[in-house]
Amino acid sequence: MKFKTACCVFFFIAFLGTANAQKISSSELFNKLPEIEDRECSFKQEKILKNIQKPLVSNGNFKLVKGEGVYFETVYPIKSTVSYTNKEYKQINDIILAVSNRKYSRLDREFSLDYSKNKNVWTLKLEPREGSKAFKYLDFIELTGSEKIDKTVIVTKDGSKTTQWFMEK
Amino acid sequence: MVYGKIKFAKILIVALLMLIFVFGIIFNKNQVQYNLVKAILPSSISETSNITALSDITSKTIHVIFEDEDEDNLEEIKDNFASEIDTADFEITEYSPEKLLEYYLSQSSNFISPNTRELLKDKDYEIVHHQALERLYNPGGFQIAGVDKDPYSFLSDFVLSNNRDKKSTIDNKNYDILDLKLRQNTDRVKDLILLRKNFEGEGTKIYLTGTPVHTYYTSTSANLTVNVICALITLLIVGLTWVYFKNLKILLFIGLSIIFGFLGGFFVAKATFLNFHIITVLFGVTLIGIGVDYSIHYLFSAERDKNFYKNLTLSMLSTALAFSLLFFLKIEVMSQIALFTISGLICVYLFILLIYPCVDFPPPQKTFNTDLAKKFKISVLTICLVVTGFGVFHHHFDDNLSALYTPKKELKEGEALYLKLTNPNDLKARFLTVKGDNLEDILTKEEEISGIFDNNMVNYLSLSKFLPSEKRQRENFELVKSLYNNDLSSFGDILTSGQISALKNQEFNFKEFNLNEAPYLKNFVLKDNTSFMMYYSSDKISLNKDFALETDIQGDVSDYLKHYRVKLLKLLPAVYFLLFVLFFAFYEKKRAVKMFLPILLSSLFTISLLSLFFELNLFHLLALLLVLGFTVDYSLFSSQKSENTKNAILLAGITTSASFLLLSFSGFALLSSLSLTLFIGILSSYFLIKVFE
Repeated sequence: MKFKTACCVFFFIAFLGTANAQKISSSELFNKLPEIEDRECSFKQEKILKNIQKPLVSNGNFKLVKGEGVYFETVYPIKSTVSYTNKEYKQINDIILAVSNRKYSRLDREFSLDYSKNKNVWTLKLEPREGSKAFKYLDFIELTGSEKIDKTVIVTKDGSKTTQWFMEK
Repeated sequence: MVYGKIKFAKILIVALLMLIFVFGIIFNKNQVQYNLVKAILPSSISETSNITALSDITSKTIHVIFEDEDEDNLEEIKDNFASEIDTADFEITEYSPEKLLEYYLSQSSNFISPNTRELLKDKDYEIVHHQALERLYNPGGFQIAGVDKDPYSFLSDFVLSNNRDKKSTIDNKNYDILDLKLRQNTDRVKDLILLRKNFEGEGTKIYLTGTPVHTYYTSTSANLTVNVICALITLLIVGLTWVYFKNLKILLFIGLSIIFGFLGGFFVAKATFLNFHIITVLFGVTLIGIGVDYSIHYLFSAERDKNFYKNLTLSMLSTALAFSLLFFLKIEVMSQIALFTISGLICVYLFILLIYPCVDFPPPQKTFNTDLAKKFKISVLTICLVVTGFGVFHHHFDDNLSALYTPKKELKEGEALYLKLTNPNDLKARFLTVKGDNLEDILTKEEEISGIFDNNMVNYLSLSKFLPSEKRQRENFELVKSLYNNDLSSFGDILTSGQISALKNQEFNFKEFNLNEAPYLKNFVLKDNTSFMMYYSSDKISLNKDFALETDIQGDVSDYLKHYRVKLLKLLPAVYFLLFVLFFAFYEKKRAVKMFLPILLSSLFTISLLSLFFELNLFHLLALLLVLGFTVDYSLFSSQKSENTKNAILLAGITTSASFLLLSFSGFALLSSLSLTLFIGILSSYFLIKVFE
């Protein structure tokens, strides 16, 4: 997967503070989505990578600080903390900050958005537009939630699938 | 009858020469060049040194800096701007890992980041294992090669370690940079300037930086300068000639003599030098002012006897001799100026010798009393001595290359911003050239130097960073294989035993990379199997490697300028002494002193006056040599007592000094230094000759 794709992926992680299938523009979409707020919760992650025996399962704590970035503290199976706040992950952090500040023009340029809602649970599917930077590497991203995002699914062109569940502590 | 034939033959010779010059210039495809470093570097050095090769690279590089308050908008503008660039004129040379990914993937076990390499060398397998798991479980982690091919995600780690993200934020403004390489014609920069105008708007600003942008603006303003100077000098000559002669025929012939001289000079210089510098073209304009002198002397002379032609020839020779001293410096642009001016002067001289006697010119209708009042003479002498007294001990020299060119404010801002964005720690960017027998040899040597940089915690950029040598790739492969044999079995719950066995038993695989596929990497290669590395450090890192040469374009060229300035400073007294001896040999003592003193005093006055206001450089001193040529010329003619000759000297002095005064407003500090010195020198020598008359 390309580095830029990783950035796109994290664009959606930034929604975690807070979506009948229909094509929708980013401006319409964000009227429907809840405000982004600071958030601290648990997460569980399952990575199904191509040509490996079984999924890579991990869990830990998640924190979003508006205007700063996000932190993933993995506690199982290894102890590790990744923060998307510093210069090393500038691209990711920039996108997170852009979402926090509700600057969504990039979305319309890069993705076609499919929004659906069933009772209180909404699903947003984002597919890279042909010719966009992510098109070559990313198949789609799916976000599911009610008041806040509960699940993200990222599927890449090589068949890898990463699912993350976010649960209140 | 015979006289008629001779007259016809003379006209025919000039006409034929004129045709040769015109066609020679038209069919000579040598291009005008704008590279200031190449122009002022001594030719012996420019042929062998890497300075020119490095300056060639920089002379084609353009950085487009995008500034926007909105980061989303910034990326969109950069992408759209890049998509509208004509790739026939510009090559986008941004680092793009995609182009290398295919190569990396074909031998994925050969690439490891410097940090991981050190850990593997130290056999710190536990740390390496933990880092691999961190990458695997990292929510944002990504596996370029696939877990079955690269379970430790070394390739992802390697690509990330070379990430060249140029985005940054300063004072709430977002910046990104697009790197371009100009393919051929500097004129195409105009398209970028137009494109910039289309994209700039509220909150969005685009800066264009890099040598081609400076060159474009310089050449545009140089063209304007040439046109303005030509127009003003022509107007001056027309006005003065009308005042004296009130005859249009004279103007026509003066014009023809100058055109003939200009074409001759241009033809010879363009045929001799492969690259004809814009500075030579600019300086060439002064030929109008210099060349008109001979016409003036001819037209004012009542008796065109042997003595007159002797003086005219001596005058031409003295000026040509002064300019010929420039050849000894072996600085290309100075040789071009010398050859252009000498050829031009000879052509004007020939035109006057061959054509003027065939035409009946009316004598001057009016002459002015050019004698100076005694009080005025005393004032001139007093001012001269006082200024010399104050200035001669006040002089300071500035040999820095940057002092020879002052960019426009807007360009200066762009360059400062580029430095701020790419070198935030404000360390000096240093260039190192590495010579090898072939690409593999170069890469191996670069890696040797990289080790020294890594030990000194120095940030650097090099080709081998992105493209390790075969030797290094083999070493990496062995380190990875050793890790697999010791640690890979711990990945048993992720990989099958077949996958583990395949990884452990894999053979080293290497294939060469075609640099043409990655313009960013190709940029690191200079001529003759030489590459360059760039490192940031306030102090020079001691390498002691005979294949690596620290090349500091600005510093090295400045050193050469200083070297020649010191050399010339030592030579100048000898030149004046020689002149003094010559005057004593050819003229009676009193006259020799009267001829020599104004020359010496005007030189001292000129350099002293300049010292009071400017820091001096090599080109101020060079101009002093040229001043000698002109003042000797005036001294020779001033020996004739007639009013006509005195008026001729006045007129010649006015036209020549006016040409240099106008040229001193040129944007090139090199030219303005030269011209201002000539202007002050010629003007002061005229008055001092009158004082001692």
